[in-house]
Amino acid sequence: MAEGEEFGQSETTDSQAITIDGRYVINLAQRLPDFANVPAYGARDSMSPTTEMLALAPETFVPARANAASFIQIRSPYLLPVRSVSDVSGSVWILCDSPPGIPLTETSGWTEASVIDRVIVPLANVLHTYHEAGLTHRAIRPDNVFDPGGKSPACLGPALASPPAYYQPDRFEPLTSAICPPAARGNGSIADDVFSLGALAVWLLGGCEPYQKEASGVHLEDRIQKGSFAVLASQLSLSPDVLQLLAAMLSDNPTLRPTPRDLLNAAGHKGFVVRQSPVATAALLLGSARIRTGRALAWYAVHHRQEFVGLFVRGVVERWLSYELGLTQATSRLSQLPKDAALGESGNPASAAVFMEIIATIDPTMPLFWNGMWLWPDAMGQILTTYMSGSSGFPTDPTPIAFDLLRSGKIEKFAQITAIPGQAAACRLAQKAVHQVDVSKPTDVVRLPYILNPLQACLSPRCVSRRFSVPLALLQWLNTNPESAQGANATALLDIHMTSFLVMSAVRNRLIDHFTDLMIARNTWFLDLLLLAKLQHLYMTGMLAGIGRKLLPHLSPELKKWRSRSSRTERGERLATAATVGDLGLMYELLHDVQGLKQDQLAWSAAQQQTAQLENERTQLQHAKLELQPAVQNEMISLATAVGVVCAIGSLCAEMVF
Amino acid sequence: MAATTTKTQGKTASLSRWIQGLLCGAALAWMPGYALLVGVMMLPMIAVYMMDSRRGEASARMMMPYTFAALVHPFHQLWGADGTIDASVMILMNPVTCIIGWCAAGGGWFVLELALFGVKVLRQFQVKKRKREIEKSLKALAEEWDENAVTVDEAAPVAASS
Repeated sequence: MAEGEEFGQSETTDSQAITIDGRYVINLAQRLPDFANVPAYGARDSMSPTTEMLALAPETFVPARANAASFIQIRSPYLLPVRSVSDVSGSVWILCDSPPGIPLTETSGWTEASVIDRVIVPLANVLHTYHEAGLTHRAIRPDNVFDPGGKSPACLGPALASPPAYYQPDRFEPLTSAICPPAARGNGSIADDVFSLGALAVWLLGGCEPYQKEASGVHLEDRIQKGSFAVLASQLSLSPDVLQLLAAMLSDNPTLRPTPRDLLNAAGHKGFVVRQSPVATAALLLGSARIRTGRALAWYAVHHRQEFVGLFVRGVVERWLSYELGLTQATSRLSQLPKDAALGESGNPASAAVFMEIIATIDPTMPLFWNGMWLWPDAMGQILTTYMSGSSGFPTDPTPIAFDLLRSGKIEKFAQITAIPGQAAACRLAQKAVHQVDVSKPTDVVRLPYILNPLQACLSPRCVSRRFSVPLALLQWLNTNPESAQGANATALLDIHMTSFLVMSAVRNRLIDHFTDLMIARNTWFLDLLLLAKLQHLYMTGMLAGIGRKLLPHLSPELKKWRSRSSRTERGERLATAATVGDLGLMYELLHDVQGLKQDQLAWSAAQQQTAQLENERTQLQHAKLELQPAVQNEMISLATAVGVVCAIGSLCAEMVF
Repeated sequence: MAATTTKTQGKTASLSRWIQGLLCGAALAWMPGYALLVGVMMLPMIAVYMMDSRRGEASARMMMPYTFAALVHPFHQLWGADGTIDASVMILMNPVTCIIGWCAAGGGWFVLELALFGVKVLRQFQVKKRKREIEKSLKALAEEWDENAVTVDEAAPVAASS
């Protein structure tokens, strides 16, 4: 898990211990059993050695919650304190106190009074604090609530170590969340936490039966038909007050549940009035199902889409909603939608958008439905992260869902209709994120998890186990670790996940203004060099000789842009030197020397001309005639004549002398 | 105008022929010994003049100094013998005189051919030298601008060792 903690040496005393914030020492050798499904290690506070602490290491595919920093601010006597969330060691560590007792899964023998006094009221207190801070807990389940023993109130475990409601079993989740895959549940609202608390109370009063083997989705249809309270608590014999309280808490309509503030007074046995959602007297038949509520209609419409569309096109649905449930507003909204039989076909973005609108209009508290999947928009990042882990928990591939839904702006319709507070803002945030990270094709959606969750570790399959949530740690690993080298058939040093992670981190650290300033179009050895050189400069990492050496053998094609052999050799030598030193910036400059390349081009053109001239001359010489020109012949005749004249004079002189 | 010039030249040529003919006739008449000697010694020249249509006149003119060089001694001998025809025949009867005279003319011709041959050889040498230079330049250019030559792999050990 955290074996490769090379980064952050100042914070690290040795390879088996990491020091956080100068005082918390994590002992990597002391692996503890998972704490609320999160890997845990032993830790101690060097300023208070008696305090027992836990260090939680959220895994890459189930990262800590995006707004983890806000969670640290929450203090409550009934909440396990979180001391620190830190990524100075290169990966995220969450330090919290050890739980004060055993988890509720190991307890039994709860009475109504003890459940109200020791569980509902203290946890409602915590939820009230969360609500005041605008946060949700979304991890209220028996293994995350601890019983200190005696008559002490229970203590709620931390909420920030895993994605919201990710590990929540269906029975502890409201319908609007349970119908979504675990990754798609999102932050939800405080009403969802109230439901979880109610479900926890029902479970405690029901005898704390093991629920781990319960398959997900088994009770969903029952709950839709009869209501969650009826399914989960029907077999319990409870006092009327508690029955009312739990019925209100387990209401399927989030707007009808009590607030945490209401629950603070639960101990006073104040009566709770259970308000009922409208129920139709005449059932609507869809397939074999008899539907009496809007929620059930929305749920069955998805399962019997063709039949539903048949009824919708004929106007039956509108009339039923209007006459039976009195939903006139929804009816008028539905009447404005196009009534087209093509709505029955899934996979078509246009029909998916209209179908989404119909479902949201029928029950505005239901999650968004798009191409076979229920999801909350604020969970988009986690959906993609979980899908990348190879999870089979999704009914369809969520990549095109994210692309179609966010990029086309169709999510805006859902934002207008939904009745859940905060979802409209979440939709806008997701849409903004899509534009920020420039999602222009379906494969680009892998960038979204990083912008939507700053604590998302790098999702590259090569370093998933390392949990790198800091770019410097990833760079250091690439530089020093031989495992980081790609196979023989690799086309680049980095992959799309590493690239997105590094660029998004730079945006977050305000080193660049826009994602596109640094993002490279695709991963090739040369473009990776460009990105890494810029990062080396931005982060002032110092020399990265390891990366230089890994890149060097693959940069020959770039070097071949220089046509001159001598400049290629000279540049190759300088490149090799820069790589040995680890100066990626210089390496990039050497390969991206526009002026030099232009000169090389000019020199090449000149050389081509010269070659042509020389070849022309050679051809001329081969065909040149050796015949002498008359002028030369005359010259030679003159020369011979001159020689003759000299001979004649010599002869004359000789005759005169002898 | 051109016709006038040609006409004038033709007149001059025929006039010089006439003068040459008259001079030859006068020489034969007044100095038969000298004329005989000169005539015999100049036989090869005359033959060349008559047989070589291409550059006969130029060749003959070129041979003239050589023949003159060979003529100096026999002329001197004839002068010593008062230029009589007998003396002239006597001198000509000496085969050395004739051979030297005629060889001198041949020597002139040989010098000319030698010079022409030398020029040709020089020319050929220059061409070959230039061809070698061109080959060398082309090879250097091809090597310098070979697209698939040195790669970073080749360069790497150099830098590493340095």
